[in-house]
Amino acid sequence: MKFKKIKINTLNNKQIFWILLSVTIAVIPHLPRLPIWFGLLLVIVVSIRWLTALKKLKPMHNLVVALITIFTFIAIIYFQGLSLNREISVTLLTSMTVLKLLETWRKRDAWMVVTLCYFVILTRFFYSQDLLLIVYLISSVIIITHTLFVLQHNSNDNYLQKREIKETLGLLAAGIPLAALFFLFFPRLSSPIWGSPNFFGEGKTGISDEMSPGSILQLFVDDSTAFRVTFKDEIPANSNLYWRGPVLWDFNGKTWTKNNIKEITSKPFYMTPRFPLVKYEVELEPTGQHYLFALDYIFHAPLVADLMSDSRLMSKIKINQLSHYKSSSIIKRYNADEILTKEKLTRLKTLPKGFNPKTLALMQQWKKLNLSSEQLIQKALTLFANEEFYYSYSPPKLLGDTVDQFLFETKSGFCEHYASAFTVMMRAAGLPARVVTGYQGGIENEGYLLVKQSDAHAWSEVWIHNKGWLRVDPTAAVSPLRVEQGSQALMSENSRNWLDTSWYRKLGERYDGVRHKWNKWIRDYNASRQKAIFQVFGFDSQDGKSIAIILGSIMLFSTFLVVLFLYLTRPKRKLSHYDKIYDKFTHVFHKKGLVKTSHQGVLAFSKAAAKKFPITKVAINEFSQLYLKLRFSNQTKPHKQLDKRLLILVEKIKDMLK
Amino acid sequence: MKPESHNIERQAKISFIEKIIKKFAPNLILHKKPEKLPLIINWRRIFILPTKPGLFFGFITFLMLVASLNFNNNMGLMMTFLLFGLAQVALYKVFLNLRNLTIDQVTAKPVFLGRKAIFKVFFSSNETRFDICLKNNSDNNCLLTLPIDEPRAIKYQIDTTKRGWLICGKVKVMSSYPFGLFYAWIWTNLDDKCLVYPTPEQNPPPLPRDNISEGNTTVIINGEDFHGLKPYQSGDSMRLIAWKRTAQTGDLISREFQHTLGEKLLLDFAKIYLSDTEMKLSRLTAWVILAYQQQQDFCLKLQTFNSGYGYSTDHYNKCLKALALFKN
Repeated sequence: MKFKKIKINTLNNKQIFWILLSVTIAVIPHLPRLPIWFGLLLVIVVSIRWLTALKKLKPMHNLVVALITIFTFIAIIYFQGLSLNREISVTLLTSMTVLKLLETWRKRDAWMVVTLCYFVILTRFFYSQDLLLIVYLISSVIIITHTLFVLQHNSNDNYLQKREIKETLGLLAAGIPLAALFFLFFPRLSSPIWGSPNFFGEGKTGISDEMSPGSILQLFVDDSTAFRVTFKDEIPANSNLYWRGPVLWDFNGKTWTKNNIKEITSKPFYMTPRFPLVKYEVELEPTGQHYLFALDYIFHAPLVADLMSDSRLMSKIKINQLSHYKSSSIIKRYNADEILTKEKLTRLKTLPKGFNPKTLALMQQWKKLNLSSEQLIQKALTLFANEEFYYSYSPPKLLGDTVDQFLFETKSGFCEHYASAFTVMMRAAGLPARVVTGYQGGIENEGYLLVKQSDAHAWSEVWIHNKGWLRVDPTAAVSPLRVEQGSQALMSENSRNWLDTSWYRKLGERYDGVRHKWNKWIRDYNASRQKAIFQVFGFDSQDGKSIAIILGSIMLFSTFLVVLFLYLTRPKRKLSHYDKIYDKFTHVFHKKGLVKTSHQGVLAFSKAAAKKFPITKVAINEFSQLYLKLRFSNQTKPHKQLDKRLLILVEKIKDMLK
Repeated sequence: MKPESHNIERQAKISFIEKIIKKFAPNLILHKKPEKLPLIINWRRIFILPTKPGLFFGFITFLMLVASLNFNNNMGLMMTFLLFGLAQVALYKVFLNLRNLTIDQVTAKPVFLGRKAIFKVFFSSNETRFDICLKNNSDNNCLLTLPIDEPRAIKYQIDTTKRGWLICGKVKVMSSYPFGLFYAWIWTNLDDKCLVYPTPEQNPPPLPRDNISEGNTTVIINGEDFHGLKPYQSGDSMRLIAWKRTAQTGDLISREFQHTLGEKLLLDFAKIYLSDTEMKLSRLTAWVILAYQQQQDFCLKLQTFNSGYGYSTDHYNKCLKALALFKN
């Protein structure tokens, strides 16, 4: 008999391998958020620990570990600032988990590190709950759980033993029913007790509040989702889908910048619209900025935002998390809601001095023609349409007098070139004008309108005296397709890169549909939806009693499922027909107090049984002889008669012992 | 000899809750009566409590629950609840891992006092089991895997403090498979015994030559000259077996050789002049070992025991046993 002395408290290499894997996998999703050197720290710590395990080196001196820890903390404070906010606490937790590896020598420490990994993963959810991230994080939960398994089960043979991995997966799967039911029924808070989820988060800036040649073009190659819109009624025509974002007032010759004056309109809510309202709900992907997008012209501001005097929405908080807001708009030609003071009017006509002399000269000529504002606009648009202007997403670079170069030399550009040039032309001709950026169009996708970053757009607004702001999109004059059918139509004509096929784009849209549903049903499941589910099950109020009943019955139900699962999947010996008969035979004696030991053979057991219960001796002897003959005979044919006889004998013995 | 008091001294470490249960409902934990083997572990006897890592796991999942609830972070909640589910599964898994496990038998070879008595506790099961451990305060030995219908033993060491019979006594069988979050255990009282011989005296005086009597008596032992055949006795060496005759008769027959002894040893308790009985026994033990090693014919005489002359292994074991169980 071999005895393996198992060291209970020290870690073997297999365990260290899994611990390192767990920590690495838990920390990696945090890396983009952390300073660059943190990745290096992770690599160094993990490789040091792995080397010490492989070469059986002595642990690092405590002083060295302490020094490394202090340096890391100083570096974190240096890079992230000294304040006790959530950002830094998450960073500290992450770095502590990594550094703890340097002093993980015993099981106890290992268990602590591995359990902390769960928490590190959880903190990642505070930043994003995207579907793709979930897949990654679920697999890391599997890895961490398997590390717990490996820590308990001291085998050191094969790092990726199939049986062990299967066991972990099975046990995790058995935990799913409880998890799913608790998810639905565990009482939620309707509002946070402390803090706000928006403290965390990372926005991907789409449209920025500046525009220079090329800035929107960058977005054209980005197919990620900007926002999704669910309309209450029909989706308006594509040429009406102007999603208004930042409004840009000032031009310095190259870059347009926004108006810094914050004037909130005090539009009365009871005002009845003269036009039909378009109502919709927007699901905005995080931007890390304040502005919200809504259909031109905005009528109602959502509760979470302010409507500025130049008709743009500003959120009260930074959009760091997926946000939802309801808004309504009016589709009309002129917007006269804004009151323009004299200073504003002059500001809207101002151009930087000394730039674009050719354009200014041309406009001076046009001015002499004495055209009305609308005619002037029309003339400019005809210029774009009739002359050799091209809509291009690989225009030549512009330097210096950007508008002059564009209008008279390159004649090829993207929407921002046209919007910029057109606005400069209008201002030069003496009309107040400004640039509006945002998105144009969108794709109808599974019941909602999907607006991608590549739908980013820029257009102009011209103030017509006595009528109001008129939206003019010079791009439409050059490329009507862009506005009527959306940016997708352009992509189909010319692919942006080798991967850009309509098939690939369709796949992306399909995926976005799944994400939309995911957001709707799982990510945004909250207290109010839970209430509805409670009502379905006949609980009108979520008081303590009904919650206790529901959670209690869930636990009972899942217990039943778990035990059933574990019982059915237990690693049991496969019984042959004769094994079952023999088990019946031994069971008869078991009930009477004679237990078969594992080393007793058939004859030995029969002898013992016959000795203890002499009245059954004859039957026992017959049984054991017949059983051995049948069980170990060479004949493959089943003897139905004799098999039956065995069972009869068992019954007979049972009766005798009664 | 009081094996009961003996047992209390080396009772395995027990937790706080066990202490309370022990105080108020002792029969729940400690089966006072020794149990008959084979013993099938009944589910009613199994206790389960979280381990220290399990408590830390609980603490972390609680923090996770609070943080996710506060921010209504559904992914976080999902993960937290999955860990709840995992804990539940672990709870039942560890329970089923012990349920219906069979303790078949316990064996122990005699040891000299001062050495550790090693009990081999044999387990078997008709299901595969993992991480079954036997625990006392100094020792924690585990079985990584217990395959189906393949008995395996776990070593269980006990310090010896007195010669005579050492009873295995109360044993804790435990497991914290699969994640180490919970541990399940049962207490059982095993009355299997281990014989503890007295400690042989270190550097004993030479064998007492004064008792040697010259003799021409022919003794039948493993000498050089063939004497005859006799039925096999346990303890006879394998090479003494007369295989031919054995095959003919069907019974084991061993050959006898005669050997003329020059000297015979008498080891007499009464003739050792030491004050302490245990020291006397120690010396006798040392002499018995010495005589056996030198293949000398010897006789051990205690107050009520006389071994007669001999030097077979059987004889040797018989003498040591008498020394171990010597009562004044």
